Amino acid sequence: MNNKLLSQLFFVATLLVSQSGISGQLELTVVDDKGNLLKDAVAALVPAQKIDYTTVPTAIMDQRQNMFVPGVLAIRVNTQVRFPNGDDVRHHVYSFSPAKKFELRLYHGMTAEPVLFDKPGTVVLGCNIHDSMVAYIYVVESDYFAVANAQGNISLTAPAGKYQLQIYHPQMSGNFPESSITLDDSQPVSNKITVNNLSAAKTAEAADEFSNLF
Amino acid sequence: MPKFSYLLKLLTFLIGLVVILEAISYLATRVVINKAVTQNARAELLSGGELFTRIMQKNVEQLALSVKVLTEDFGFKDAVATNDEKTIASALINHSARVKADVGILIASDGKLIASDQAFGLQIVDEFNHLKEQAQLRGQAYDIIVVDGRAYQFVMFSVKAPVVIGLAAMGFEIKQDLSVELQRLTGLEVSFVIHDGKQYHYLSGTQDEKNRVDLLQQMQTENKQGEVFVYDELISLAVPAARQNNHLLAVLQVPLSQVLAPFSRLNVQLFLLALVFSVLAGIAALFLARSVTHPVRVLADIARKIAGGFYSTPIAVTSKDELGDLARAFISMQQAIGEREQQVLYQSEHDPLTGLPNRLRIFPELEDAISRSRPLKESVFLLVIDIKNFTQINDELSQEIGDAVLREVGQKIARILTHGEVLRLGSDEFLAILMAAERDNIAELAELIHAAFKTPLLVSGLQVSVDVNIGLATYPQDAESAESLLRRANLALNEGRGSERRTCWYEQGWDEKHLRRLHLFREFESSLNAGHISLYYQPKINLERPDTLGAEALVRWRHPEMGFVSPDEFIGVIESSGQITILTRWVLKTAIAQLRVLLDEKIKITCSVNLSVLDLLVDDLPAYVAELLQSHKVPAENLYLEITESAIMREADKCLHNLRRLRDLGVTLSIDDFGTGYSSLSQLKKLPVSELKIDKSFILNLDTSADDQLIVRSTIDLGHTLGLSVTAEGVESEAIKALLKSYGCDTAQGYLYSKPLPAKDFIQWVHQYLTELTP
Repeated sequence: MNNKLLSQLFFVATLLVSQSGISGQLELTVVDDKGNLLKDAVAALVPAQKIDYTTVPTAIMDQRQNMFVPGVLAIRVNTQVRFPNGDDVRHHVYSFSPAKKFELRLYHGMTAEPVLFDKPGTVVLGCNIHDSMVAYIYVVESDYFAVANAQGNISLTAPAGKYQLQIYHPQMSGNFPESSITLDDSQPVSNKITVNNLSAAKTAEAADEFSNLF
Repeated sequence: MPKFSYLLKLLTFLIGLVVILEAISYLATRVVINKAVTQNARAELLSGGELFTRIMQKNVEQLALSVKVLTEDFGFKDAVATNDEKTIASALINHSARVKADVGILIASDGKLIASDQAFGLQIVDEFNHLKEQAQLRGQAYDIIVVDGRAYQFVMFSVKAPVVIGLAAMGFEIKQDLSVELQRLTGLEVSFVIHDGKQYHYLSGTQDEKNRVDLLQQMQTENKQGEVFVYDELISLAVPAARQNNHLLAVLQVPLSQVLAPFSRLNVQLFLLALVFSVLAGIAALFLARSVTHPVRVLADIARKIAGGFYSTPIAVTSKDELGDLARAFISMQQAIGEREQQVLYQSEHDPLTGLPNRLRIFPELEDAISRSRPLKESVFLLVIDIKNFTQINDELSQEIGDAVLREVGQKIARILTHGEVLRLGSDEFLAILMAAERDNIAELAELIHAAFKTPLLVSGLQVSVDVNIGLATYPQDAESAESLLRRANLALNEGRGSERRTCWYEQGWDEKHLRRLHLFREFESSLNAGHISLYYQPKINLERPDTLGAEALVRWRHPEMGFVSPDEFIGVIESSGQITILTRWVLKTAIAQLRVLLDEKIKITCSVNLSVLDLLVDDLPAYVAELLQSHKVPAENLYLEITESAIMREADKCLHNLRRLRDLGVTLSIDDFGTGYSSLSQLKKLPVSELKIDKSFILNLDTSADDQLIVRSTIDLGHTLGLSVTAEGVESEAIKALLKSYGCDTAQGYLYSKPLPAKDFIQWVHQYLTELTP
C-alpha cells in the first residue's frame, strides 16, 4: 500500500536558491491533493554527508488542556525533549514508535525526566489517560528542518550544498519519497509540494457510542 | 297428516333460519377472530423480532465494551505495538472469556491475524475484509461473519497507540442455544438462516426437519424481511441479525393452529349456542304451528261433517284474523249448502209437474206407513192408479194437454185421499198409500175416485174424458214387505187392465204366477237351445178320404226343474216378451224338416204350424218360409199355417199383407180356434185363408149339447159358403166324428185318432193307421 501511495505521489518543485554567500534558502509550500495548504507539515534538509551530532539540545513538548503543544515537533537526532505538564491533571505520556519507545508514568509539572531521542524517525506520542492526546515528534539527522506555519509555508536556510529533502506530515502514512536538492547562495529556491493520499483528519470520535455499531 | 306437514315446513324454515344466522355469525366471528389472532400473532412476531434485535444489540454492546476495554489496555497496546503474538493471543483469550465471547482476533497493521482460537484463525480467508475496512474507516465496526458454516456477531475496534496499530475484534457465535432461548422467551419457533449470496441455508433453530426445508423453499421464492408473511398455516417474520447486511436472518414463526387453539373453545360455545337457538326455534315453530293448525283442524273437522251431510255444527268464531274470516266463511257455507241440499232433495223427491212426491219417496213413505200401521193394528192399502186412456189423450190432443191432465188427475186424487199420501209413480201412474182398519173403507174411496172422473175434465177449454184403473194390494194381508206390496198392487192393476176391471184387488197367487212367468221368460231361450222344447204332432184326418193325412205341429216344453210347461202358459209369456218369433222360426224349421222326413217315407201328408200375430208383423217371414220350403224341397201345399181367430181379428189390417204373401207362396192359411173371437164376416171374407178350425170347446160336448151342434153346423156351413174347408178340433169319440161327418165337416183332429206324438211315434202311428185303412 505504501508503494502504491508512493507511486502516486506527485512531486513538482521549483527551487529558489538565495544568493546569500555561504548559505542557501528554500521556500516550500505543502498542499494536499485538493490544493489545501497543510499546516503541521515538516520539511528537513538532510546533508548528503552523514554528521555525528554530539551536542544535545533540548526541546519542549508541553501539555496544555489535554493536548500536546505543539502537536508536531521536529528535532535533530540526539535531542533531549522535556515534557512539562501544564495541566492540573496528570498525564501518562508514552510512545510505542520504534524510533523511540518510552513511557512517562503519571506525572505533574516538571517532574518528568527529559527523554533523549537518539534515533531518526517518527515518534507518535500518546497519553494513556487521555486518548485524544496525540503528538508527533519527527527526529531528523539534520539541523535544517522546520514545521510549516499556519499558512503552510516552510522556510529553510542551510549552507550551500547537497541535501536530501525529507517531508513529513501526521496524516501521511509511510514515508514521503526523498528528493535530492542542491542549495547554493544564488537565488532562494521556491518549491510547492503536493502530498497525496493523506489519511482522514482526526475527528473527535465518540468512543462510547456503540449504538452506531449496530 | 296435514298438521304435521305444516309444522314440519315451519320447523324447517325456522331452524333453517337459525342455522343460517348462526352459520353467518360463526363465520363472521371466525373471520374476526382469525383477523384478531393473526394480528395478535403479527404483534407477537414483531415483538419477538424486536426482542431478537435487542438481544443482538445487547450482544454487540457487550462485545463492543469488551473489545474497547481490550484495545484501550495499555499492556495490550504494548503487545500489539511490539508484535508480541503470544501475549496478544493470551490477552484475546482472557478478554473473550470475560464476556463469554466465542472468539477474539487481532489483525496487526501488517495484516497478520492472531486469534484466540487457533483453529478458527486458520480457517480465515477474507471473511473479515469488510469488517476491517469499516473498522479502519470508523475505528469500530460490527458485522455478521460466517466461518466454516458458523455465524458470528463480530465487533471490531482499532487499536490505537495513539495512532492505529491494529484491529481487535470479538465474536459471539449464533448458536442453537440462542434460538431455544428466544423460543422460551417468546413462545415462537425460531430459525436462523444464512444467505451465502446464492441461496439460503438453515443454520440452526427450533423447527423440525420438514419445516426447515419448507422454510428455505419459501425464503428462496419470496424474501420479505421485517414483514409478516404466511405460508402453510405458518405466520412468519424474518428479522436480519444485523442492520448492515441481511446474510443472517432470524425467522420467527407461529403456527396458525396454535394461535387459534384457544378459540376452538369459543367454537364449541358458538355451536352450543346454535343448538340452543335451534331448539328454541323448534319450540317456537311448534307453538306457532299449533296456533295455526288448531283452528284449521277444527275447520277441517267441520268440513268433514259438512261432507257427511251434517250442516249445523256450531262454529265459535273468536279471532278477528284471517282464520276467523275463514271460520265465518265456513258458517255461511254450511248454511248455504244445507239450504241448497234441502232444495235439491225436495226437487229430487218431488215431481215438478204435479208437485206430488215422486217415486223416490215410495219406499220411505211405504216403510213409514207400515211401521205406523203395526201398533194401530191397521192395514196399509196401496193403490196404483193409472189413466187408462192417457196415451190416447197425449197422442190425439197434445203433450201440453197431457201434462195438464196429469196435474188435474193428481190434484183430484190428492183431494179425495186427504188422509193418505199421494205420489206420482211415473208417466200416467199415481200411487196412494192409505191406512185403514177395514178394506171396505178403501173400496169406497176407490169408487169415489172413479166417480170423480165420471165427468170430463176441463182442460184448456177442452172437455177431456179420463178413465182410471186402480190396482190394490194390502199390507199385511197381501204382502209382507214394501217391495212386494208395490209389486202386487201393480200386478192387480195389470190384471184389472187385462180383465177390464177398473178396481182390481190383488188375489192370492198372482204374484207367484207372475214370478213363474218371469222365470219362464228367462228360461225359454236356454231351454230351446238345450233341446228341452220339442215338437209333437197330432194327426188331422179327412173325414171323406181317411187316407188323406194332415198333422198339427205342437210345441212341448219339458223343463228339467219345472217339469211340463203348458203351451197355454208359456206361449202367452213369450208372446209378451217377443220371443215368440224365435219359437215360430224354430217350429217352422223343425216341422218342415219333419215334413221332408215324412215325404221321404212316402207318406202323403200336410203339416200345420201355428203362427203368432207377432210373426205376421215381421215382413221377412214369407221369405223365411219360402227359403225353408225350398231348402228342404218341400212343396208349399204341404204346409198349413194357423193363426188364432182372436189374434187375426185384432191385427187383421196389419197382417193382411204378409198373409197374402204367404198364400201366394202356395201355403195354406187357416184360422185357428174359430168361434172364440169376434170375427166379422167382412173381415173373414177379406182374409186369404182356406181353412177354418172350429175351437174344441164347441166339439168336446157336441154329441150332448144342442147349442154346440147348432153352432158347429152353421159354422161349417158358413165356412163352406165362404169356400173354406172346415176342421174340427177336439174330436174324442166316434159319435162326434159321425156327427161332424153328417154336418159335412172336412177334417177332424183329436184324441179319437191320437194324442200329439213325438216325431218318431207319430211316424209309427201313421204307418199303423195306413196299414189299418187298407184291409
